Amino acid sequence: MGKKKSVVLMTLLTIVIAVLCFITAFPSFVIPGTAKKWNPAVKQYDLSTDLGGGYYVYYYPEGVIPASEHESDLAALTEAVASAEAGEEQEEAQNELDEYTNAYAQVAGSNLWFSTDDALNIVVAERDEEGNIVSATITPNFQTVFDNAVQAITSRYQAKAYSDYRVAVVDGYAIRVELPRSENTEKASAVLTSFAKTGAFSLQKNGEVIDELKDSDASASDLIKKMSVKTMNMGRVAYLEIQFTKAGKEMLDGIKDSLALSTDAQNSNGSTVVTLDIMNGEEKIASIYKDNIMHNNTVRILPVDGINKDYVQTFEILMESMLADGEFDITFELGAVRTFAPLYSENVLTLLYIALGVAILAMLVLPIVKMGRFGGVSAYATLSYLIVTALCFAFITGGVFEVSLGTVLIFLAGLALVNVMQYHIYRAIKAEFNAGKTVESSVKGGYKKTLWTVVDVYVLAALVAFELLIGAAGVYTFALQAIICVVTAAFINLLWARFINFTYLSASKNKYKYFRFVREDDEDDE
Amino acid sequence: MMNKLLTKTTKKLTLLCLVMVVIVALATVFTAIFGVNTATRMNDQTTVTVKMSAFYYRDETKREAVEKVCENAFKDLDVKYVYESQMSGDDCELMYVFDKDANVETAKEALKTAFAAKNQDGTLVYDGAFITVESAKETVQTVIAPATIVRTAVAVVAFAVLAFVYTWIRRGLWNAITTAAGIAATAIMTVALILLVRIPVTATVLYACVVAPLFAAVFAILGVNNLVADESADSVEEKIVNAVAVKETLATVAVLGGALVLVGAIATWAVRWFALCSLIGLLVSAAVVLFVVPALQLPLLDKQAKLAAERNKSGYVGAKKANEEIAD
Repeated sequence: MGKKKSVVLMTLLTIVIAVLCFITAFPSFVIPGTAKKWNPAVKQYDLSTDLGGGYYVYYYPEGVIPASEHESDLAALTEAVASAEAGEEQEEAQNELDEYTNAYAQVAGSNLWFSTDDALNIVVAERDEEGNIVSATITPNFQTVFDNAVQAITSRYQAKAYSDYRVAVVDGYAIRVELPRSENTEKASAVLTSFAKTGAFSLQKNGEVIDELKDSDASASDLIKKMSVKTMNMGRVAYLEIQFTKAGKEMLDGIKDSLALSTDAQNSNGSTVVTLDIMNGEEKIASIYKDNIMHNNTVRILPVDGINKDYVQTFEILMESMLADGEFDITFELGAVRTFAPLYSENVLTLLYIALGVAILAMLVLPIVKMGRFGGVSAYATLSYLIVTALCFAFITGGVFEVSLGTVLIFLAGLALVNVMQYHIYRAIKAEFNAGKTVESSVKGGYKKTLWTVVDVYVLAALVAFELLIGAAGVYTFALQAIICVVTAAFINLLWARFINFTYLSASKNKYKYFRFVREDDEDDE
Repeated sequence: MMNKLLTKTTKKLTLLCLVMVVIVALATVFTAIFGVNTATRMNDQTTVTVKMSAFYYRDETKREAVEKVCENAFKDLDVKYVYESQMSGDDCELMYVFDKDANVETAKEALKTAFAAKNQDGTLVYDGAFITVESAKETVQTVIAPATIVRTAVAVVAFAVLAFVYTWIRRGLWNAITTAAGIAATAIMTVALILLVRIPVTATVLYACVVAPLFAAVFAILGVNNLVADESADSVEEKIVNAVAVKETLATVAVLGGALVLVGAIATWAVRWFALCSLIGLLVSAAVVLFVVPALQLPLLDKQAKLAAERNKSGYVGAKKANEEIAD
């Protein structure tokens, strides 16, 4: 390549890399003259709990309230008594206060308050002669039902395969669930609400349970064989496909002609259309129309919550759980969904970026110090790797793709590989030069001799990344990120850095200085 | 200097194996006695939640005043971390997390008293905050799912097998054995050291356990390729010592190790454990490839050389070469 062409190409390359670095990592700022804010690609990341915080919510069984709520209610009723006019009004207020005081009791070892309503069968309260509660104990039935419900709910979150989540029992009889911030608030709320459902699975037509499930021995698993999440319209719409057993197919055959079409539902103007409804207790969670039933009596369901793949996956997990675990004689009420900042420090992400920035700067400077202008090629390779991986992490959003500390590790590992392979190539070129060859022959020979070594290294690295795809939760996400890092690093070492080196070397005036080579006879001349 | 060290350690396979076995045994015993050390967030906890109105929480000055009261009340207790949480509604909360056995009742009552304090004119000091304080004990239901650990272990084993097959195809059986052995030794030693050092086990530990074998495989294959390309060495031992990818291995340790030390030094505790874990994995992979793999290669390549010599002695050169000789 001619010198002029090389210089032009070098300049263009530098400009392109500089612009892409700006897009990738330049800090946010308000665009002058507008109300809009510029955000770099690194700000688009979905972050794990350690780096981005998350959401949490409390599940309280019906009849169980936290101490703060009991305290507030009591304070309000006491205030009402104090401010009521003497006489009937005050008596009424006092009665309300007394009623409330006896409506809830605490048990040993818990700060929660439990309803003493016999219908809920949560506690057995011991009262004194005046009817005031002296002590209370949890009923064995409530204990068993709660423990079973906790197990089922925990399994649901495990099945959702979050890389980072937490389910804990609070004071023995409430649940607190944490999810990472990678979910947006709407999706997180949908998951938290869905997984709190504890009603029995049933199929109803016109508000009545179908005949096949009326028998007390009948089970929905007798009708449903298998479920899977599928997509259509190029992945834009997801649905749950249910395959029925022979008995289930017979059931569908018997009723499908009486069901309405989904188009009828849209035109119904509020009048009732006949559907086969999937119920969780008394709550309808999906409807089956005539056109949802396929020719082989499989059914495609679009759940009430949404047609996004995430929602449908959540729905599938809920359905599987309902079929496997059955009904729990307990209903959970959700507290408010709260967002929380990264634990340990609000600034953990900023500090991490600073540390990575310093590390990347070192990897830009050290090769130049060690390898001369060939080190400059390594610097371009480093920046190219940074740009490609950072943009891929920001804009590839298949499923849960959150950036975590594992992402930092695999990013650094790929970066180290890029620079070490460049160093390996440099050493090979130097060995060729020391054997007496010209610079051009040394470069050719060095690249030729290291080609298969570099290929071997990246084949092994790719094998690790692909093997990790069998991992679950965060390991699966880590595997996807590892594939991106390995493929990018391989491309850079095998092709991109060679091209940059070729361009720079063509433009270089002194090829010896380019590689920091000194030949013995040159030293003697001096 | 490195070559001298490698020349010595190459002959010490038994000793190196003994060291590894001792470390693994110690780690097993420690884990059996003390259990696995899990991260604070994955342990049972005691919490104290201070709830206040959203308007109070979002005012920085007012919130800092509340946080100061809390810090004062908890000064004799060990606060692990704090959830600073908001909701789009009426109240926000600060949840202070302690060890499960922490006694927080005194601190809780002190907070209640402090937040109920009144001014001289009878108005509340924290008027408008509507602060409530409550404590709770949490029993965690989830740790890293066993399935995640099992699948990761299976992935590492599968990688070792595939690396063995690939290296066998590329560089022969003996090199494949040493590469696979290097990967296995790295994975086992990394896990053992993490358990021995009692690093809190979280999902991020799995990442370190996976990246370490990757580096072992990379350094090992660099060495194997050098070994195959070296035609000038006099003896098998010299060949093995010269082939070890010392500079590349040490350069990776320096570069990546430096980055991890920096990350651990600058960032917070959550990140420090992760950085330490990753550093252990990196150092183990380097040590295995620099010392254990060459020590394993020596007897294997000696055996290979003996087998080759016996074949040459018998005069059998293989059918293809025999036909060529006949043709000549």
